[in-house]
Amino acid sequence: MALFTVFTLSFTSCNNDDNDNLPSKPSITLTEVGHDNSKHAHPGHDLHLEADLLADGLIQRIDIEIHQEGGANKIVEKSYTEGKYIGVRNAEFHEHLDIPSTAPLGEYHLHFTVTDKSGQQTTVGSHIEVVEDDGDDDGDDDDHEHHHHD
Amino acid sequence: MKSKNILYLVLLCALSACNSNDDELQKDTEKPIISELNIVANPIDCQVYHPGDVIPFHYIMTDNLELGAYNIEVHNNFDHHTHSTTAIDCPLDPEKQPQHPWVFNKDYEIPAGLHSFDARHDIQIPTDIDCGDYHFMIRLTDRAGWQQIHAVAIKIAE
Repeated sequence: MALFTVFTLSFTSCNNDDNDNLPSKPSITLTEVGHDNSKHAHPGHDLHLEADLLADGLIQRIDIEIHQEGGANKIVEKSYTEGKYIGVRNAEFHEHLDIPSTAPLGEYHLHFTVTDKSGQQTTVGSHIEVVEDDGDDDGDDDDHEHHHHD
Repeated sequence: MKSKNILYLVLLCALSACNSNDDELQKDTEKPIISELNIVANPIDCQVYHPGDVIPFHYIMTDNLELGAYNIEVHNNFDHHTHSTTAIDCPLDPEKQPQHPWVFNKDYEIPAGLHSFDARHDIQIPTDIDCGDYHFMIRLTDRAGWQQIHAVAIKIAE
């Protein structure tokens, strides 16, 4: 009986969450896809991509893919496995991704995946349109507010 | 004999108990701080540099428990985007497409066990880059993984 008690003790002595429960899955909020969140990209130019990331289990890697809708044609495939976002709990992702000059115009999908150090993954997606550069990234009026997210 | 076994088990139990440091880091809820306390910090918003100049980077980094690492990154702001930590509006050049923008991205480790760190680096601006508006980003991460961002708007002019 005493032995049993000690066993029970040893199993419950370390009752913080990391033994039984995994940390909550990473969360991703895409805040800007294309300049001013226009969801537009232009061949040969860079795509402004911004996201708020939260990973209780700390970010292990970030994978980004942009492929043509209904096709396998990938125009962006980028992974971050070291550097400023890795090992981080809360990150403001901000990158300018190069869109190849050969990218055909049309409809695309963006997939944004965060994996934490326990191997848990979250993916979010967005629609993107690759359009001719009209000299105005957002495709409409210039004078709307830049959005702040603080 | 039985009591000896129990003793071993108790010992094992004690040895396998949680690492208190990890525990503390688990409970850490405070982001580290990038500050200008008692120093002349550099770079600061709206400064103008020139190609070939050196930016004498200097900030004080602090954390309630333990500092981790930091990253310095520079990217162009030719599209007039914003960051949540950008507080001041500096005069901007007209929007333009980058041709050969300056890209800088470097990680720095902070020695273990520190609450405060005096970070200084001389950062060389290349000579063959697009002039214009840039964001100078400082990302400081503590041992628990909390990250603080400080975005500084600078201009590189001919």
